[in-house]
Formats: sequence, structure tokens, C-alpha cells
Amino acid sequence: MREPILSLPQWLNIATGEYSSRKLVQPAQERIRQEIKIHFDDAVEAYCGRGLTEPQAKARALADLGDAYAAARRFRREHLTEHEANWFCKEVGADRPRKSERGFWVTCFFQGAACLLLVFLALLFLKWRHVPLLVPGILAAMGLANWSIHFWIERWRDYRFCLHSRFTLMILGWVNFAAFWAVVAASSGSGFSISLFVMPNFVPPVFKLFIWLKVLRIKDVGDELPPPGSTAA
Amino acid sequence: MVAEMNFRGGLNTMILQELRHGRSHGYRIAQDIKQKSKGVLDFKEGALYPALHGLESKGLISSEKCEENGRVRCYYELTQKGRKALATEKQEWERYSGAINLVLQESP
Repeated sequence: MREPILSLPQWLNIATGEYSSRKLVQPAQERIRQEIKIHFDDAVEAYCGRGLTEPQAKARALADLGDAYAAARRFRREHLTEHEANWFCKEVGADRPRKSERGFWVTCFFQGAACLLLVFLALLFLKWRHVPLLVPGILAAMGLANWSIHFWIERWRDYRFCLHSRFTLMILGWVNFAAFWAVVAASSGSGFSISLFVMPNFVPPVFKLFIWLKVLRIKDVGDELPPPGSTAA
Repeated sequence: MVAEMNFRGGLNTMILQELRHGRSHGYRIAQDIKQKSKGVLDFKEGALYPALHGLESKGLISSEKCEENGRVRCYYELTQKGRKALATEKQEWERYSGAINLVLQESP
């Protein structure tokens, strides 16, 4: 049973999800509160000008705003919740401190080495399974693609305006990595190895797909994210 | 009821239409839509702001904060992309309403 809404602060708390698990991020909350408060004041002023008493005017203005729960659902479609923002921040590394140029190249070197190792291990696995090496070229290309994707993710780590591009690259990276294992598993011809390798790589991105789609829709997503270092807790 | 049902999808178009002559703020947009439709297109004003924020995310409108009588107001303005979208929406609406009129005129 929903509680009746009797005041503007109560309406705003519900619309911004203040006391729910789906609370909107602070910048979005502030913007909504500011805009609705001014809207409400304008409406009260107009109703008072038409001869209503202040309590009557406030009640009418509140009724005009409509269902706060419906507004909350609509606002959640347009803004990130705190949970989504924290997840996104951690995912793209926007909460981590800026890297030095040397740190960047060292990371890239190790990522390149990891990609090479991955290709090597995959080829070794196929040989161990007595599978002819049908697709070494494809695997090598995928390994290279994975490394270049991670290169750009790292390169853009410090720039908040690149968040969309970085996130899209991360999804590409996930898909590429999963496809890599799919090729390995398919070449080895075992249904068990297909599920073993593909499922853990495909399931997490699919679960987070709805947040990804929402993030891509929000134009200035950097404005909605907490400052670096604030999501550590 | 019918007006309310059909209006839900049309709120974005109404907002774009209201902004075509220049910038405006949420309360004025809401009042203009209600006045011009003579109260037929009645909607809950709490739905206006998510729609405005959504249009801004799509790049169809832009917002700017201005101080007015000691209060910080958010003004919205139509972008070039928004103008094009409005023209397309209007054409689509004319085609759609024309088709409905044709069907309704035919029935006895």
C-alpha cells in the first residue's frame, strides 16, 4: 500500500528514489529537485493569484505534479541510479586515479603479453586435443584485436568524454574474448568445452546489457558519475 | 481519456513545438500546452521533466541555467537536430491523423 503524498519534499523523495535501493545519482537528484521546486513555486504563485489560499494552492500544485512513483520510473529511464553509476564507474575505471605515461605503456605491454599468451595457450590446447590447427590465423587476429581494444580502453581511461567509446570497446572486448573461446571450443569439437568456455564469458555482459543500453542513451554520462576515488567504499 | 492515452506518446512532439520560437522553462511549456489545447491535452506535470531530460539526452533540445529573481531556472532550447525531428514528427502526425479522418468520415 503506497503512502499518500502530502508535501513537495515527500513527492521529490519518491521521484528521486531517495529512500529506495534505486536512488538516482546525486547530480540528477539535485537537478530534478531544483527544477520541480521552481515549477511548484510557480504553480502555487499562479493559483494564489487566482484567489486560492496558500494551503489550497499547494494542494492543487502537488496534485498537478501527478503520481510520484510514475515520475520516479520515468526519471530512472533518463538518469543513472547510484548502483548503476558505481558499477559503470568501476567497470570503465573512471573511479581510478590518473595513470602516468610510463604506467600506461607498462600496462599496454603486459596486456599485449597476456593476449599473446592467450593465443599460445589456445593453440596448445587445440594441439593437445589432437585437433588440426584450422584457425590459427583467426585466433591470432582475435588476440590482436583484443589487445588493440584494451590499448584504446587504457588510452582513454583519463578522459571522461570518452566514456561511451570506452564502454562500447569493453563490450566489443567481451564479445571478442567470448568469440575467441567459442572458436577454440568449436574447433575442439566438444559440447562440454563449448559451454565451459563460452558461458562464463557471455553471461556477465548479457546481465549488464540493460545498464549498457541506458548508459549509451545518456548523453553526458560523465556528469552523472561520482568523482574519481569516491566509489572505493 | 482517449486524449490522455494518445497524448502520452505525443508529449515530446508538443514540447518540441513549444520550443520552436525560442527558449522556455518547464512550467511555461506545461501551461502553454494546456492553454493552447484548451485543456483537452491535460497531463500530469511530473511527466514533463523526464520527457525534457530524455529529449536533451537525444540532443533534440539543450538546457541552460539562468538566474531569475534570485532563483536558478533551467531554460530549454530547440537544437538543429530538434528542428529536423519536429518537422518529421509533424509530417508523420499529419499523415496519421489524415488517415484516421478518412476512416472516420467513411463510417455512417
